[in-house]
Amino acid sequence: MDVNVNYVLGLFLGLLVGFGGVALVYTLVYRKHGKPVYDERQTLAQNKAFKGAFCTLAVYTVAGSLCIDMCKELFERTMVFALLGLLLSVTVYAVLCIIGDAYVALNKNTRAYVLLFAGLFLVTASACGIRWATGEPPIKDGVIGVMSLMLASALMALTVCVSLLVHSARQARITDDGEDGE
Amino acid sequence: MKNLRLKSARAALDLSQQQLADMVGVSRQTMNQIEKGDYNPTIKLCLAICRALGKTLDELFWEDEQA
Repeated sequence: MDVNVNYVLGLFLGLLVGFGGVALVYTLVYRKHGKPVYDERQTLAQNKAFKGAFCTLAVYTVAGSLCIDMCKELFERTMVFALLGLLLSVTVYAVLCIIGDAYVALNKNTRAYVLLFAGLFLVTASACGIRWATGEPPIKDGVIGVMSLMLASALMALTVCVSLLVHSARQARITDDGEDGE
Repeated sequence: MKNLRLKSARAALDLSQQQLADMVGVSRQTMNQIEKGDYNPTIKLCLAICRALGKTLDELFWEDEQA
């Protein structure tokens, strides 16, 4: 089997940079605010969100397996199909957590998360746009390519950002007597 | 079923849901759901709320005889 060494090296380097970036952000945030603290209801809501994400990934994988011949023609590489599924399930997890008010920890700021995901969306959308303009669209000749992962990441960041904003606005309306003072 | 006894005990001390939530270490949404009856807290949380409001478990969380 021919293996493109540059592709594999690029993949590992990307993973290293990704994990390194996350570790850096976590170190900076933890140093300032401490470990995230969730109450018991939030923990339960996160467990339910995890179940939803798992079911999403399971259905996606089974659907792909049933249509494996079509998937082979539709996706440039098998990894694209798998990673798109992961991104989808992570998005489902985040959105379900946000709906259950279990995404932002007690000692964290919603604004920081909104800014983070807005920034992530801008970076990935810009990179995707530049690639598209230089002849590397996410879908080329009916085949979903590697660039679709960048577009999917941008959409994921946008979805989480918008969900946080909508949820935050809704929470601000709820008074101590209930929603809209009922 | 709404927990009106909890709500009135909180109001008697002139505390908002956010203030009571901060005192017992939960989110405002959690306190809101407990008062609305949408979430059943653990005994640990019930005790923390009772201590914060100066009430007993029976006074805040026991079922009404008539209910």
